[in-house]
Amino acid sequence: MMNYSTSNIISKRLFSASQTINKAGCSIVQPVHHVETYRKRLLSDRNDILKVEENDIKSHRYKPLDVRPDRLINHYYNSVQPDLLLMAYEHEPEVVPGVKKVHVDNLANPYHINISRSKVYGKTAPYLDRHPVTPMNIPELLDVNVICMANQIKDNRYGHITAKAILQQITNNKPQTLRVKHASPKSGLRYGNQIGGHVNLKGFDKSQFLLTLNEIVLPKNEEFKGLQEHQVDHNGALILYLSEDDTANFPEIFANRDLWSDVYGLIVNIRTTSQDPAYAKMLVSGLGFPFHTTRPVKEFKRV
Amino acid sequence: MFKSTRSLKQTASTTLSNLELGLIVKRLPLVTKSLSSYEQNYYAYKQEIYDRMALNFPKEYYFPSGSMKTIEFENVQPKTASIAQLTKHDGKIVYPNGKPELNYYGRDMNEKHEVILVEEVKEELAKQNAKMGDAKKNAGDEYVKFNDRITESDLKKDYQQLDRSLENDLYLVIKNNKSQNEKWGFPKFKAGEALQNNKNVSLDELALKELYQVGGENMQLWTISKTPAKLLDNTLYFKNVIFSGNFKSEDASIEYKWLNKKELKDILDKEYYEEMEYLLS
Repeated sequence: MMNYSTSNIISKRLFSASQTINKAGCSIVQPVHHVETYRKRLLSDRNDILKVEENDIKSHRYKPLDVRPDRLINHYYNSVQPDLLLMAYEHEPEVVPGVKKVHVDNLANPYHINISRSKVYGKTAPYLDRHPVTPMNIPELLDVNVICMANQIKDNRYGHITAKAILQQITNNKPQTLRVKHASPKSGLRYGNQIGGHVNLKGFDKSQFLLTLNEIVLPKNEEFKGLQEHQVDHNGALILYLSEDDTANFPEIFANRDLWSDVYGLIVNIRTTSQDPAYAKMLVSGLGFPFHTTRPVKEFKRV
Repeated sequence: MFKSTRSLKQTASTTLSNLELGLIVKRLPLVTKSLSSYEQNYYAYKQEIYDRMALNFPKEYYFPSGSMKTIEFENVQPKTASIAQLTKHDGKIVYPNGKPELNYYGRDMNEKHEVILVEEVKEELAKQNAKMGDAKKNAGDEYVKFNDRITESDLKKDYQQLDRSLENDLYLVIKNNKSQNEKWGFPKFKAGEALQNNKNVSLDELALKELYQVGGENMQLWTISKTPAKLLDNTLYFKNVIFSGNFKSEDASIEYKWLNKKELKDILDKEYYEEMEYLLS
């Protein structure tokens, strides 16, 4: 057997030592790689300001939310939050995992191999995990979404302007346009048609809207006895459907009722961080909204 | 925050015979807290930012073009330089305080949009013409007058009334003068006999019953939770809120006061207050 020193051998696959000696030490020609394409406009720092978050004062979307003392939030931190901790106390608390979205194969016909999966009959929306309420985890108000839709858009195709004006007057916010997502031949609407507006309320405007709703608008309705318990969502949101008369009772519209030829109803979505409808009800009632039960609360079906 | 070790030790010695039921009855604050100078400045600063970042007053929405009211409104507004003119004579204009940054409407970004209403101008003109000497006094009568934050009971230091210390929570404390060395504290009752008489009544309801016997039934109370908020010296404390009415005892030897957190610190025992402090707000 020949004994080669390891320094001479570059690879075991080489059969002759002369092959390595003849090779150049380094390549003179630069290696040609593939060309990397990039968009030049993404590299410019012109639009860096758009990457700043909305609550930063540098952002072009910045809007100060704490412009004056907020009595609803003061009340929440002073008395509702400590009370909620006591009310939601449980002995030996456990984390109840929420049901994830379920798909079950339709086994009605085994010969259909590529059949599309059908949903389970009933609710299959994912449920939130239910954590025990701790000082770190007390239910809180997130924000309020208000939607206003024009009723008879077929007769009055500029109704969406009125709907947005109503929102702007009531909420002191610039509304976003609401467009048709699913066209239907019955209504004569097409995909993308404007039908109204929607507003996401935060900060002082949120509290102001809830206070006027609770203290001025709802008490004017003679039929109103209280919110229904089943209006609370399983995701901790409370959805209110206000009629046209309720909308007309907002002081901004009530003062100049003759100016408004058309007034439309509102959909108010009060979003909270609670993971259970019971906690959401505790929170909203703690903030001053009366509740009235006509029937026992129906437990959401956990599939 | 939670001192669980102490309460665990005490549970060993508690029995039904010596169990006591306590009540923390509070009145919620009726007005918002008055602001410190720092808070006032903070809110004023935020409001200024809000105003100058806001869009201009939407004139077209309230005043349709071509109407007499629109012309009146436009005549009253202070005149601003047009952007077209400013850009045309860009190099020739001298800005002594530096070149201002203008927004879409030609308004300086550091200033808010001030709108002058026609009615205000007319009112001022009418006053000048009439030369009313006491115009300010008459104008003041039209506006809403706010009530004072300090009430009569505050000035008299009447601790038995509920319309005092409006900014803070008020808590009911009781002192029984029948026995000597009795101290001020939250109302509490022995549960032994009451438990035997009312067997299907929960502890929080029993505590309420006992309080009604002492303080009359004209109080409208609401128990926050059936779970007690505190266990201290064989006493289970339940939290309650009073909405209306007041404590009225027929027994003359029982004294009562409605006090806020600061005043409780002076009147209660130091150890007792330190145990209960985290429950108060």
